[in-house]
Amino acid sequence: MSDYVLDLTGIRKTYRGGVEALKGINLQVPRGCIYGLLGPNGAGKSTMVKILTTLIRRSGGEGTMLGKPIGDRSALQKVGLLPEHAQFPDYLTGRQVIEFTAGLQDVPTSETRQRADSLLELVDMTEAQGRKMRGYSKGMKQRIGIAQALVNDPEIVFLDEPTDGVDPAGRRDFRLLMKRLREEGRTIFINTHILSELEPIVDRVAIISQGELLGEGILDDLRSEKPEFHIEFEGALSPATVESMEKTGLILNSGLITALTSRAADIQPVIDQLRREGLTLSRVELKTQSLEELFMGFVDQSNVAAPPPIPGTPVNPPAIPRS
Amino acid sequence: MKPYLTILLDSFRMLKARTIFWVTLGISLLVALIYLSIGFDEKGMSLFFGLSHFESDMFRRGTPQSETLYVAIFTKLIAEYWLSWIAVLLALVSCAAIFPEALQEGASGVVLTKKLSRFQVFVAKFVGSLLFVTLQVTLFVVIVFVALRWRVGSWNPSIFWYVPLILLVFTYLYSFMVVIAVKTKSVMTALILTLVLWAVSSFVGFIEGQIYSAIKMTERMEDSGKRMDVEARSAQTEEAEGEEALPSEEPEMKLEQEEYRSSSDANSMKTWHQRIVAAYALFPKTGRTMEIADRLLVVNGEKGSSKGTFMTIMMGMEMEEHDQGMSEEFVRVGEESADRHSKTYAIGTSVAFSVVMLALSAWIFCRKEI
Ligand SMILES: Nc1ncnc2c1ncn2[C@@H]1O[C@H](COP(=O)(O)OP(=O)(O)OP(=O)(O)O)[C@@H](O)[C@H]1O
Ligand SMILES: [Mg+2]
Repeated sequence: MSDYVLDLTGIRKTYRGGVEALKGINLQVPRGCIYGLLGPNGAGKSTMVKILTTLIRRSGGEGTMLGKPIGDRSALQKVGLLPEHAQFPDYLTGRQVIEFTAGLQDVPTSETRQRADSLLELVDMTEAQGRKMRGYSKGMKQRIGIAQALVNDPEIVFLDEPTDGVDPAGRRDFRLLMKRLREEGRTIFINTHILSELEPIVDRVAIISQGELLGEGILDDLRSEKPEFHIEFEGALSPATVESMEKTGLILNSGLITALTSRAADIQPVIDQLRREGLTLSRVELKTQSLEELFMGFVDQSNVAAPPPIPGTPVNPPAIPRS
Repeated sequence: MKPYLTILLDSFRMLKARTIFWVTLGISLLVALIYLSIGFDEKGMSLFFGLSHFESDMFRRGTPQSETLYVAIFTKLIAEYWLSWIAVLLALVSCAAIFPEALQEGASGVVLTKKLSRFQVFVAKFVGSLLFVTLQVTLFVVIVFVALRWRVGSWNPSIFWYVPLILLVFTYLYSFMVVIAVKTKSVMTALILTLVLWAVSSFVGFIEGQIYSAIKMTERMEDSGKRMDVEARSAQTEEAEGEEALPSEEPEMKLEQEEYRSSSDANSMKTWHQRIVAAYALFPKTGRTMEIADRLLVVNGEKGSSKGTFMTIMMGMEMEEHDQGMSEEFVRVGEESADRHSKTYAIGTSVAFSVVMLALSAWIFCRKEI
């Protein structure tokens, strides 16, 4: 048995009508991580989740989920799902929705009650639990959606656009919740295109576009731009200092020094020098390539035949380490 | 077991959450209540729990006619119009959304990705719909059962035949509706096409019945015409030989021609009839199935067409002596025509229809891409 909770090779899906939503995707998702499946609209993210949860059949490819071939229902009992555009029975209360999923997943009645309580607490819906779904706001529905996905104590949780409609406080709660689930040893598979959401918590990402896997791996490894320090100051450096600084590899622009390093110790001498010359430091910042920049880099490269070189980015796609 | 119960419970909650459920229940209770409000006393009968009263010798407490009438109000009005048409229609409308909704993207993601296989979900949803209709019909029939006891003084358990038979009628139509529902995921399309099927099969059944009666009537008239002719001639010559004698020897020219024409008419009618019967075999027999319930009903201690009994009484009231033979003849043809297909045939072919439809819809349901 593989160590991966998800181990997929060459997954393809061609919808009726000829849309090739997935063109042979290989994915390995290790146990106990937060895994982000990123891609623009129509990339095939939801298609992937639907194949894994038997809502649609794959056109080709093989794979296992929790050690069982995909499509095997016994694996689904250990899977939680928040589908895209989830539509829960609107005549049920939030609590009943959680109990409904528990019933479908054959969670013993004795456990359901206690789990529903703690899940409602977890998504901060304890107070509103007795109101009907149709009276909930979008974000409230989404919170209940996340809660019901966890009611069967799943080993792997698929969340398709989980923070759709959730407010900033809710998103922060969501991130905390994800970390907590990871600590409990669950694997969380998140589909999203809201990258800022994922950046602080995600362990691995896969970037797909137009049904093709563009990159996969640990976020830091994927970053093509190395982190650098930006030091902003007011005033002018003496020509001698400019010369000596350029010799050490610093890049100087008016009012900005760029140091190609991520170690803070490396830039202390530069700061000392600026202070000695009586200049005012206005800002010191470690710049990393954001997930969004990374994502756009991949997607643009795949969209444009001859992509314009992005400053600091090699023209060829970076080698993607896969583990 | 729990996942099945969860789906059943959800189906009930869904139905209960709809206005149509309460409308159906309301009308149903109202109809039952109106029936319950008809009563008989020593002097005659009353409506609306005594609000209006009229005197009658025939229809008063304890007479067999009053039981016949009371049962006939049920069979002729309530069963024939309300149960056979409106209640079934309302049940179809109530259940129309169950399958299209199960296949909507957002909802299916919740139900179809769990422990139960698609087929199991299909079965649970279908059984749920049937249970719902059973409950509604049973509730109604129980009220009628009580009403019969109260108003004519005897328990009549044969009334409960209506429950399985209405359920059958519903199943015929619902199984077709589910095919359309899972194919198109559209409530409206499913409902409309089902109504079309219902109308067409009722129409074909009606035409078949009409042609059959026409054939039988012609045959009878020919028979009695011949009989009269034979009787007349044998009376002219010598003593009558009896009714069994056939007019085989030297028939008159005129008679021969007439007979020839009418029998060729009858033959072409028979050919047509056979064709229609063959076509009708493929349709669900909703009307025939309801007739079976009617014929299983016991009235005045006798099983058999309550409608027939009812008509005899009604006609007996209005007709002169010499017309009575004619009306009995009419009733006999009616009964014969109800007997021409066995119960097994009517139910068997319709159930076959339902089984095919259900197999088809289950297959589509299991393979549907969301
Ligand atoms: N039922 C369907 N029939 C035909 N084509 C479909 C169907 N569902 C999706 N597609 C197509 O497959 C492609 C991938 O769709 P998918 O929903 O997987 O994208 P996505 O990555 O989830 O996008 P989004 O971020 O907008 O949710 C799209 O081109 C879409 O048009
Ligand atoms: Mg999607």
